[in-house]
Amino acid sequence: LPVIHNRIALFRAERGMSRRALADAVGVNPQTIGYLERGDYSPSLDLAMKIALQFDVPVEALFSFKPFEPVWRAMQRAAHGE
Amino acid sequence: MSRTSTRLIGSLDAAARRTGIPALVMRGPRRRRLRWLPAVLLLLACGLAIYGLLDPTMLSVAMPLIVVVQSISVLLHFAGPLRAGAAGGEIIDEFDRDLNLRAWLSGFAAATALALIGLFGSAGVALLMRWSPIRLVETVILIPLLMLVVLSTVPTLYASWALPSPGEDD
Repeated sequence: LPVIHNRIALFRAERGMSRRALADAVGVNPQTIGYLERGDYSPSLDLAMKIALQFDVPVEALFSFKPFEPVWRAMQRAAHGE
Repeated sequence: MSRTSTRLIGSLDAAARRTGIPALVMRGPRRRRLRWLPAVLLLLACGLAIYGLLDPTMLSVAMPLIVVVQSISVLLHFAGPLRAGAAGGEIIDEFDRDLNLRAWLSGFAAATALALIGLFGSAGVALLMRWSPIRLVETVILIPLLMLVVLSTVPTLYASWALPSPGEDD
């Protein structure tokens, strides 16, 4: 099965949201959010869309087949005006 | 409801609570890994079955002991990671449903394999070793007993090894 990378932990940290709060909002167990963040579990389309809706971003901003660019590299790129 | 009925139901509830099973069902968190207990119970049942097959005079001892092992292994569903319902107010989510499905499929596959190997194997050995019909029947009776143990232990065993470590909570 293809690995699905995600940025749930990044979005959660940026919004100051705990795992439990996100889990309650999307109707799953808090441990499931932990498994998702660590890549131990790939979500269903339903759960992925619920999480994306919670952060008010498109689903492809949260989940990708390719690894996401690290934040520091994106900031470095932005600083250099690339 | 009459007073006698209320008292009777109350005493039955109290008796059920004393077994400890309701407490096992209600306590959380339910994603507890039981990696070794089902394996030990499964090996014990297989060992007893092999012992009974090698020494037919011990079958009368081995069979009740396998039933005892099976009775203990039924409790694994309450104590292990397989969650049948929303016990203790916890959410049963898609992760649990997926894990339960894969665990039970592995249990059914193992029980089916055991049934096929057991039936054809015992028929083959009976022909080769010229077993008496009684000996063959005694051997065949072992198969459903072992299947029950497999169905009670393998799903919990699978789920316990497939369940990732809980990690740190925030």
